[in-house]
Amino acid sequence: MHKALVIKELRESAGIVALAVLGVAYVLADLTATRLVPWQSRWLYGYPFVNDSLNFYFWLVGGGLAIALGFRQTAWELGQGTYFFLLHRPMSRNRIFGLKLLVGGSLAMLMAGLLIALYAWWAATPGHFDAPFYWTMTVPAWQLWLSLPPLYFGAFLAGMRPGRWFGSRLVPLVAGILVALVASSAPWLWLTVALSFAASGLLIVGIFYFVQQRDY
Amino acid sequence: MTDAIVTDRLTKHYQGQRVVDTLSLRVPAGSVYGLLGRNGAGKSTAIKILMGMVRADSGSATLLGEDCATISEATRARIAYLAEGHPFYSWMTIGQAVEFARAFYPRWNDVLVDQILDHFELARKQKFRRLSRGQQAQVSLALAVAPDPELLVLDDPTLGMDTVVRRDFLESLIQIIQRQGRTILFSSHILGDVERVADRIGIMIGGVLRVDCRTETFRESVRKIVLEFVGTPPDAVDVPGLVSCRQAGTSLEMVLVGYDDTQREAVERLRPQSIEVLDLNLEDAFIEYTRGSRRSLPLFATEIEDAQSARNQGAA
Repeated sequence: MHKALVIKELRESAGIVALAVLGVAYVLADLTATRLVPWQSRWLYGYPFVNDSLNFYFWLVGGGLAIALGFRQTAWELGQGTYFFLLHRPMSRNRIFGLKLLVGGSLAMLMAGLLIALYAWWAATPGHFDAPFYWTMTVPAWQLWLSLPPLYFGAFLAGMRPGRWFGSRLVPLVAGILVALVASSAPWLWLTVALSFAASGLLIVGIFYFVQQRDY
Repeated sequence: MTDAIVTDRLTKHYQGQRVVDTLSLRVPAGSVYGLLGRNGAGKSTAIKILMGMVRADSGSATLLGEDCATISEATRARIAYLAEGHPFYSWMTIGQAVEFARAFYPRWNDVLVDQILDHFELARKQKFRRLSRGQQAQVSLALAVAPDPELLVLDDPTLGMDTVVRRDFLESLIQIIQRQGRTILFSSHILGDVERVADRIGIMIGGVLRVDCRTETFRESVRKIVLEFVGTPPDAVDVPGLVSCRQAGTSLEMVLVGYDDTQREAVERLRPQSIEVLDLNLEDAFIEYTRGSRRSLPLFATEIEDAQSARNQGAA
């Protein structure tokens, strides 16, 4: 039954992930001065991982993917009424939503990680730009990556938390965005990890609270 | 006989409005129970509470002996639920839906699924989004009975179907009931459906279970009395068990629950020129009963156990 649920979640996320793959390809092309579409430049306008557009692109693609997946896995099911089909199956709600989180979180982290890893691989390959490259230069990028979970969990909670006004339902997402921005710009890696883990923990507790308490 | 479903003073509010009002209900194991009521009567909410989809504000409910809010996975595997509108993942084919549902159950009757799909001429490769409402219901039914459940809970399963498809669906349901002694609770506002399959009915009005008795008992108890007067009929009528009263020229039409000696004497005291007592079919009885003034409706308590049930309900 776990396999069936994982396949369902993967199948339902496929459209969003396909868009993210296109997004990653476009961003990588832009960052590496590879012309995929006519308006992309053939020239590098900065040093990889030092002064480039990765930060902006990461939030655009990775952040967008995390938010889209969080809502797709919750608000969409609520809107379609498919929770009535899913939640009366002989499987605990915590396990059903735990698997949802596992699949959605893994996809978001994998795609965002792929963007950084491919970009780092390109930058580490000699002949691509005329400046030295050290792997430690990628630490800020991995701080961005580590800041992503609160965004996904915030969107997930916002998608399933009941609320009379749409604005108040978005509070967890806004909180997730704020924590992610603060954590990604923290001066130390350990602080990024601590902030991200603490916020994710709180959001996950909130998710499992509403899983049990909300009306479907 | 044990009870498959027991609720005790179940209550639910939505935005300050009481949508299920101290619902106390018993559905005996092996029976087919039709839960009736007009739109907004609280049927779906009551069923959602039973299925653990909605949390009750107060009261308790048990399904197959377990609290519905904390029901175990093993017991849940013995219960099938058809939600209103037959929600499905629209991207799935029928075959994918079967495979998906089968993964959750220790027992699964593939032969029965194929028989039902064949009967309704449904192919496994058909996409769910391309099915009509009736076909969606048919797939839902196949998936619901495949794990061989002891209890089937169906929330308005024939909603939106045309007459022919509805009849076909009910025939299949009857066959499934007859094959094995399952307990079925289903809600509907189509009386013809209920009359065909239900042993007992409950009627909810404004969140209150006003009727809980055998189907026949209800049908036979609601009567229409037509009184003819020489002049204008009286404005104020005081007859026990009065559900509704309408003037039409020189005649007065009353709908009563039961028509015993006490009621006959009360009617005769109005001094009509003639009295005509009409039997109603279930649909007419339901319509007349449910369109009466809600707070003043007499509760049904025609059997000993029904009397206890009625006493447990909300205000009469």
